[in-house]
Amino acid sequence: MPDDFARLQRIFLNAAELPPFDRSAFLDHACGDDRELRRRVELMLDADGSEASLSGTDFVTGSSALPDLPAEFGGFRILRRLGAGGMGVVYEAEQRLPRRRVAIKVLRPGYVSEAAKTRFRREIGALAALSHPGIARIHEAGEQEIDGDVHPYFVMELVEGVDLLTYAERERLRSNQRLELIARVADAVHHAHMRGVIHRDLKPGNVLVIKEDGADAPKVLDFGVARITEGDSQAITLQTTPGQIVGTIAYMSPEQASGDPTRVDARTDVWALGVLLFELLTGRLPFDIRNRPIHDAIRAVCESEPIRAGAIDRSLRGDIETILATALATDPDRRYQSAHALAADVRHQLAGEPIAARPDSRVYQLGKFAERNRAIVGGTLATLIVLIAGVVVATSFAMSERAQREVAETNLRRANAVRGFLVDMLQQANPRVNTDRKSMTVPDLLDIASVDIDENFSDDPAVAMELNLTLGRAYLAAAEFERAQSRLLAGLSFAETVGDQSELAATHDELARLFAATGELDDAESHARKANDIFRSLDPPDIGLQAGAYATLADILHSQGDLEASRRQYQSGLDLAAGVLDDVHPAVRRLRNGVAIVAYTLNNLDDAIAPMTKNVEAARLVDGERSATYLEAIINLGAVLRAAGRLDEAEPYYETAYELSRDIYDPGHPLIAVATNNYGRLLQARGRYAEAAGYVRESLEIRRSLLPPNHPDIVHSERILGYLHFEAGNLDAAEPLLREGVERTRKAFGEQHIQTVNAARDYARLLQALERFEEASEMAAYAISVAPAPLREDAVMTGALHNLLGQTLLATGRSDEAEASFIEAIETLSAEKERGRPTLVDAHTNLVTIYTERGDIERATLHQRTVDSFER
Amino acid sequence: MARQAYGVPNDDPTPQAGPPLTDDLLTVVYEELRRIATSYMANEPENATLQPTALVHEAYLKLIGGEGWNWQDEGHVRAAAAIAMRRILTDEARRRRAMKRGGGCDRLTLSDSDLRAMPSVNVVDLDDALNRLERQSPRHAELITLRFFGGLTVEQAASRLGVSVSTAEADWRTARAWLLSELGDADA
Repeated sequence: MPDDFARLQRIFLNAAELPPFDRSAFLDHACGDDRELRRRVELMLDADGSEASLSGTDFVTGSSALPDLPAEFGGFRILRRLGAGGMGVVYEAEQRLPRRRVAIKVLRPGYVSEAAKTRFRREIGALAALSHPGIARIHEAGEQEIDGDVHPYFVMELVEGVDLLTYAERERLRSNQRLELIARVADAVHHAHMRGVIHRDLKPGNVLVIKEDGADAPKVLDFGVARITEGDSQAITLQTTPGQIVGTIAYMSPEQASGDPTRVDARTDVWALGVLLFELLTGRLPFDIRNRPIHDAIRAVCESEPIRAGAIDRSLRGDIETILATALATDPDRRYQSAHALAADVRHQLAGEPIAARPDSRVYQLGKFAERNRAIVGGTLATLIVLIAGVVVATSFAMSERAQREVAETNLRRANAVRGFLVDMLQQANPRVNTDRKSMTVPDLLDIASVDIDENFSDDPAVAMELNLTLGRAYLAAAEFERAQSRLLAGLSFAETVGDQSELAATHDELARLFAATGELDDAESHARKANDIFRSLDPPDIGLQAGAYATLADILHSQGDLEASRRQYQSGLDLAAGVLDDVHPAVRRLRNGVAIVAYTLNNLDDAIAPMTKNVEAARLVDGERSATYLEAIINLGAVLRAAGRLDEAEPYYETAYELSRDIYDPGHPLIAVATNNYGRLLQARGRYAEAAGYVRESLEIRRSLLPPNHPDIVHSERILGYLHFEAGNLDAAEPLLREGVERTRKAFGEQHIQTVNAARDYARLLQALERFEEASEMAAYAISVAPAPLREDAVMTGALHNLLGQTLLATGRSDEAEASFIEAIETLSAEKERGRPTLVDAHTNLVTIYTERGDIERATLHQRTVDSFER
Repeated sequence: MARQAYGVPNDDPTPQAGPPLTDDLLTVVYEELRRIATSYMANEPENATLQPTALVHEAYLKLIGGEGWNWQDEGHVRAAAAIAMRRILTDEARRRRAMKRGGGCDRLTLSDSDLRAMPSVNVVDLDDALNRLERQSPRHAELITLRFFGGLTVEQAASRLGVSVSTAEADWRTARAWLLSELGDADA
C-alpha cells in the first residue's frame, strides 16, 4: 500500500474512533498543512457516519449508541421504555401541557443523515396534519441533545393496542371481521395519501388495534417515518438482523424491493395492505421467503407471483382471491390504484355485491408466467396453458354459491372477462395486431377453449353467443374457415334467441366475408344483404360496422364480376362514412381499396394508384410497417403499379410483401400465397417467365391446400401458370392448363367476365403458337364475344383481341374475315395510338400482306406508309 | 477482534494470498456471468437495479456444479466472479450510456447481507472511482471489488488478499468511506 494511502487510512481510522467534537483538534494535528488530506478525511468521516458503522452488530445488540433512560426529555417526563427497534427506542412519557400521556420515539444518532433531517423538518408539518381516527397522531418532532449526541425524536399519540395479527388471533376474529379491519386500515392510509403522505413501511407492528366502543379500531403508526429514516437513496437498509430484514421485505412491494425509491407511491402502500390482508386471512405470507437469503427473498418478491389465497384455503376462492391478487399485482398499474379502491372492494365483498376487480389480473399473471416460460415450453404451449386457465377460472367462478340471478350475472361478467382475455391472447397471435408473434397455432388453442365453452355455457344464450362469436371471429382471423363457420352459425342462432340486433348484423357480415373467402358467393351475398338490412334498421346506427358491411357486399359483387354494382356499393359506403368516420378508419380503408380495385380491374390504373397509395400510408401510420393491413396495402399498390408498367416502383413493394408475409404468417396462409403469386407476376412482367412460373406454382400449391378446387383464385393461378409456361416456351405444359382454364374460368367467374376473356385470349394465343389455327380463331372470337361492356371500352385490350382474331383467321386462309378484324382493331385503337402502337403496327402490316396478295397495291402502299410512320 | 480467517490456521496472522486466478478460470466465470447477467438485463426495464451479488451467487452455484474444474474454495470462485461481474456491469452500463447519450444510467444497489447499506451509485462512476482507488492502493480496490461485486465476506476477502481479517476490516472501512467521499452523496 503506497504510503500516502496508508497515512490516509491511519488518520481516518483514528479520527473515526474519536467523538465528533474531538476530531477537529486531532485533524489539525494529524494533517498539518495538508488541506487536501484534511478535506478528504472529513469527507470520509461524513461518509462513514452517514450510514451504520461497519462492524455489523452495533445496532442490533449494542446499546452504546443509545442514551440511558433519561428522566426528562424535551419537556416530557419519561415513564417507561415501551420497546426498542432497529432505528430507536420508544418511551411512554407524560407531557405537561397539554397534560397527556404520549409515546416518544427517539432515533439513534447518526441514523438519520443530514439530507434526511432536512427532509424530516420539511415534512413533519405534513405528518402532524394527519388527523384521522385510524392514524396515530404525531404531536410534534424535534431534536434533543443527549450526552453530546443529537437525537431526533417524534412525539406521538400513545396507542395502547396490540399489533394487527396478534389482535386478530387473540380476539378470534372471523374472516369478515378481519376484512372489515383491513378496510379500516385502508381508510386511514387513504386519508394520508390524500394529503401526500405515503407510509412506505406498513407491517403488522405498525398497525396496532384497540377495542373502542366495542369495535375493532386500528391505528396506523409511524406514517412517513420510513421516508425520513431510510437511507437517502436506499430503500432497503440492512441495519438489522436477517430475521428483521425478512420481516420487512415481506411487506415490501416489488418496486420498493428493487431499490428504486422513485417508483414508490401510494400503490406501494396498497401492496402492503394486500400482504396484511393475505396474512390476516391465511396466516401466511404471500411469498415464501422465510429462511431464504436476503437477495433471494428480494428476488422472490420482485419476480415471483404471490401464492394464490385459494390454494391455501378453498373458502377464499373467488372474490377474495381476486381482491388479493389485485392488491398484490407486481405491476403497480394493475393494482388497486388507491387504498380507497381496495377498501371499497373489500366492503363490496362483505355486502355480497359484485367487486370491481376482475380476475384479469390473475389471467394477466398467468400470461406473464407463459411469457417467462415461452423459451422453455414454446409460445404455443404457454399460450395454451393460459387459455385453458382463463376458461377454467371463468367456470369455477360460475360455480360460486350465489342466488340464481346472481349466478347468471356472474357468468356473464366472467364470460366477458374470458372474452377480453381471449381477444387479448388472439391479438397476440393475430399479426394484424401483434406482429412480433409467429408460429402460434391458434386453432389448436381454440379447439380446447371450444370444448370448455360448450360444456359450461350452453345454458345461457347470452354467454354462449359471446363465446361462440369470439371463437368464430378468432377462427376467421386464423383462416380456419370450417371451424369459423360452425362457431359463427352457432353464435348467430344464439344472437337470434337473445335478440341482439347489433351482434346479429355483425355476425351476418362475418359469415358473408367467410363465404366470400371460400368462394361460396351466393351464400356470401345473402348474408351480406342481411347484414346491411339489419344495420340500416339499427337505432342508433353503427356507422363503422355498417360501412364495413357495405364493403363486404361490394367485395362480393366484385367477385361476382358485377363491377358497376360493386363500384356503386363501395361509393355508397364511402358516402355513408363521409364526415362520420375517420379517413384511416378500417372500413373506410376497405371501401377505398375496393374503389381502387374496381378501377384496376377496369384498367383505369391512374384512378387506382391514388387511393392505394393513400391506404399504404394509412396502414403505415395506424398499424405500422409490420402489420397485416400494411402487407395487404402494399400488395395492392404493388399490383396496380405493376399493371401500370411502373415496375421499378412496384418492385420494392413486391419484395417487401413477399418477405413480410412469410414473417408474420404461418406457412400456408392465404396472404403468403398472394404475395408469392404477385412476386411471380413481377418476374413475369420482367420477362423472366420460367422463374415466375416457380413462384406462381408455389402460390398455387398453398391455395390448393386452403381452398376448394374450383375457387376463383385457384382457377386464376392455374391459368397464369399455363400462361407462364407458354411464355417460357413450354407449350406442352401450358396446353392442359390453358385449355381447362377457359371452361374453369367461365364457371368460376361467369362468362361475361374479364377473366374469362383473358383465359380465352391466352388459350387462343397458345393454339396459334401450336398452329391449331381453326381452334385459335374460334377461341379468339369467343373472347371477343364474351367481353363485358366495360372491357369493350378498353381500346387497347379490345383492339388486341381483334388483331389476334385477324391473325388466326389469316393463318387459316380466311383473308376477308381477317381483313375485317384488322380494320376493326385499327378503328378501335384510333384514339389510343400510343399505347396501342404494337397492335396497330401488327394490324397494318398484316393488311399490307393481305392487300399485296390480292394485288391491291394502292391500299398496301397506304398501310405500309402508316407502318413506316409508326416506326419512325 | 480476534477472529479466525476462513480456511486459515488460527495462529497465522498473515495468511497466504489465495491461488492466482487463471485466465481459464476467469474466462469460464466471465462467460457464465455474462450469460446470467445478460438474461437479467434483457428482462429488466431500463434503470433496473441489479443485484450483482445475487448474480454472482447464482453463477457460483452453476459453476461449482460444473465438471472439469477443481475449485480451490468458494472465495476463489467468487474472486473470479467479482472481477468478471465488475467488468460485465460496467461494460453494460457504458454501452447503455453510449446508446442513450447521457440519459439515465444504471444504478447499482450495492448491498448484501454482509454489507452495510450503500447509496445507489452509478456503475460507471463506481468503476471510474475504483480505478482511481486502484492507482492509490490496489489492495483496497480489489477488496471493494471482491465484496461489492463478488459478495465475498470479509473473511473470504482477507484470505483472498492474504491479509488478516482485522486488516481487511480496517481496509474495508477506509476504502468504503474513500469511495463514498469520491462519489459524493448520491442524493445530495
